[in-house]
Amino acid sequence: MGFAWYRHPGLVVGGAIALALMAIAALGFVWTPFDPTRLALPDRLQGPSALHWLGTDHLGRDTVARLMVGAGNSLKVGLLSVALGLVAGTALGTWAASRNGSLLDEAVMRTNDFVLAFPAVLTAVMMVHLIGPGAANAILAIAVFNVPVFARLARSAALQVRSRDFVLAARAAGLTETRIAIAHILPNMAGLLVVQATIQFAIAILAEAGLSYLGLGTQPPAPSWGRMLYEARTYMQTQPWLAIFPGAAIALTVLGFNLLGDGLRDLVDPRARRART
Amino acid sequence: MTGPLLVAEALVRRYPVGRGGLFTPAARVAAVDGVDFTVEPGVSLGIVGESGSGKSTLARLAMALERPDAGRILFRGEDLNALSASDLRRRRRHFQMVFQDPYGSLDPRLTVERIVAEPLTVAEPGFDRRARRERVLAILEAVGLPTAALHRYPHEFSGGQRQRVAIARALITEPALVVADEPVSALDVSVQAQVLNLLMDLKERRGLTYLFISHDLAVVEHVADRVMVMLRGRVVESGPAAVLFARPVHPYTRALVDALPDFDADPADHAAGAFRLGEPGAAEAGACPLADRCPRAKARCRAEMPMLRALADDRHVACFEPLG
Amino acid sequence: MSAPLLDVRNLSVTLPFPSGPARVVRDLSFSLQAGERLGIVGESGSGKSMTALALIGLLPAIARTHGEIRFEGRDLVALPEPERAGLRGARIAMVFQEPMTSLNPVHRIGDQVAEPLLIHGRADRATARAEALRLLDRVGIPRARERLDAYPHELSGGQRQRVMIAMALACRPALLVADEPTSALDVTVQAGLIALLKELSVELGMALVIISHDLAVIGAIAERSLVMYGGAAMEEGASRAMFRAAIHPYTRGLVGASPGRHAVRGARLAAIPGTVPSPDRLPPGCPFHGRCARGTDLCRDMPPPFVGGPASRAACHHPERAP
Repeated sequence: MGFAWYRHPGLVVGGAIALALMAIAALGFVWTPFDPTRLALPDRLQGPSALHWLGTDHLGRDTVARLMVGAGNSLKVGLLSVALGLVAGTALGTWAASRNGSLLDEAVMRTNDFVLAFPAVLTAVMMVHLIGPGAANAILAIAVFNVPVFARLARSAALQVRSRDFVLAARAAGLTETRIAIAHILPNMAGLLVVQATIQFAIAILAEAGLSYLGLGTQPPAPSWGRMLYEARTYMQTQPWLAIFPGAAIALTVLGFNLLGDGLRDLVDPRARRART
Repeated sequence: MTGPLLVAEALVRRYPVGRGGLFTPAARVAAVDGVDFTVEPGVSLGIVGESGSGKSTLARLAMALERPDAGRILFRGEDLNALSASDLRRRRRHFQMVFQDPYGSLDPRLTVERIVAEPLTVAEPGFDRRARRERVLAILEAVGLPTAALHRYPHEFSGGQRQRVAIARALITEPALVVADEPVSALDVSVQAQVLNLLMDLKERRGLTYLFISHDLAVVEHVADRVMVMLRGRVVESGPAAVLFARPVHPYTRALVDALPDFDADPADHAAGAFRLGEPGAAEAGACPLADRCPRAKARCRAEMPMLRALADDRHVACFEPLG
Repeated sequence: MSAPLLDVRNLSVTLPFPSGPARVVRDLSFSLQAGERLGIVGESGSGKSMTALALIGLLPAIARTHGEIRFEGRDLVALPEPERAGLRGARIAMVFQEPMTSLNPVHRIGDQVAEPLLIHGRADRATARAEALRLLDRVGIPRARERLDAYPHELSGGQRQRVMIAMALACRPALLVADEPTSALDVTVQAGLIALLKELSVELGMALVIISHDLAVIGAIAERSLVMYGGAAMEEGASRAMFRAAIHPYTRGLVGASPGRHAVRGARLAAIPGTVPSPDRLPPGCPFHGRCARGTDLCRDMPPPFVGGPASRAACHHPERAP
């Protein structure tokens, strides 16, 4: 059956937003209309114009340029923190599943519950306070709360795959447990993990914005959406666009990745698939 | 090779029921409760039992996919569970398995070529790609699948064809013993006959010995030389297939035989003469597992567990009130 | 002969497939007198379950139905849904294959058996409960009074199916449709349930349509059988006579492929070559064409008419014997 986009509007819209964002971020690495860090106090706090499409901030920096570079920063933090969480969480979850019911499994899962009991952003804030602010530490902090999410998902997915007969068949053929995990278990849960990664990506973007807003994430003068929001708060009454544009960028990104994740889930979920055929 | 191929000695396998409390271990129920059997080379053994009889657990014990809580499983005289993990893996090429569900036993993400070749990658890791493909093609032909199947995925095949893929996979290392756990019960009648015929052909052409497990007596009768009937983890009757089916002595075996289709008998006669059991209830410890269902049950059957005892013509039965 | 209780005429059911709509039931006609027991035999994809759902009016919404299902003089296909719902569970009842999922796990079995009586306004609460007790006792639930308040998971599979039968009988239907009622159960439990269904049919004068892939089940319960393949009727006749000497090559094939009691050990079964085709890949003619040893070009292009006498009918251009 061919892919009918009209049956998955969320997937298409979400995918388009994500692609556009990545294109903008990529462009931001090689070209921006202005230097995003160059100060130009005479041009400060301008509204949108032909020269500065989305205006300038309180130091006269071009909002378009800062949003473009900020997109790159947000994506970088999101990508790395989710990748770290995905790899560590999947390894942990798959390992726990292979020792289902053991003390080790119990310990891993209870630690997970403990970490998950804290709100994600709060965990990150506490972490950054401990290890110090900065983009790299923000990545680490966000990764920490991604680990249990992936560990839990990977464990339940691995348990489900392990109960299928083809895993028993692989064992009967003499494959080692490691090879079974790599050749059979991981490929069969990859779909679920990718879906979750997309959704975690949206959460990570939000967390990065939060940390930067608090001054704990990407450090000035490097532009970041969260930092832009923070700096805009003084001018909310007089120059509201300063807050509206980065706010809209964050909202649109989160929405896009959530739509993408939900759409992918529909594609991957065997129940949804069966209902269609 | 002389001596038996596979020997089970007093096998016991218990499973926990529920989770138990914080300090109390979960209660355990024996899925397989003291089972002995011997499989001689060339003499296929059929194991018949209904749900809860422990026959699938027995299959996994025979394949050393699970460890018994007591007893031993010997393949060509070697205790499989006493071998090191790597030695056991090396032995596996000699005993392979075909599973019940042709939809679940093949990894949906692999091509037929990779699925069939997988046991070979363990048994003969040195094989180069071309030689391996030759072997896969030869075995696909032997099970009646076209060359084109090589690069296709399981979902592109019907249930019967998938079971052929599973059989090809089990046979590629040229095993001496094949454990088949309900290999045809998920298939349509017309296709089931094809797969059964294939299993019988392969048995003759390749000198295979089967440990053939099924709930369906008629299916077992076609493939097996000897038959063992199981009920709640125990053997209730065993013997050569021909005698056992013609003159069952255990009431449970008789009920199974009478449930088979019989198009030649007069329907009224057949229905009236059929041996029927009651609905199964909870098993009582220390009683015959059939005591609550059997029309022949006497006081002794409810008080004491009948042990397997030898009869004439190489048969065994565990019953105080045998038939005929 | 009086007017039949059920008269199905040229029934077709069309479902959407990836390649377009396809008929899963093709031009099916059969009838049933009051109190008669008819077996419908078929493999997966034969259309037997779709026929059952069409009888009770529970086809999926995407299905298109053509033809007539005349029941007690009314055409069910044309009947508006509220009136059909009034018949369902009252005049026509159904028993499904899976006794675990057909019962609601959170309700006590006494309440579930009484429910149809309350829905159709046949009894007040107390009377319905008394009737539920009588029914559970009748279908052979031991210590029925205690079991009224039990939940489905406390019963064995066979007992759950007995509860399903009790529910189906609550309003004394004229027709019971049983779709693979014993296929999920062990054979030693099956035998008792088949005997029960037969007894109840005789005792209550209730007509029974039993659907199964298992010739043994059909042969034990139904005096007359209809063999379906690829959505179409292949053969109809007295069950035993038909299984012994079938007219249609498919029926012969099915009997030959079933390992029975008098099989010769080690002998090859008469397997039917090929696989059961998907409904959207059937030839315009006989659905069995392609797997049939007697098939010709005529079979591929022309659907054979379903012909014969009152004793037996078959749809075959090249029958094994004269009908």
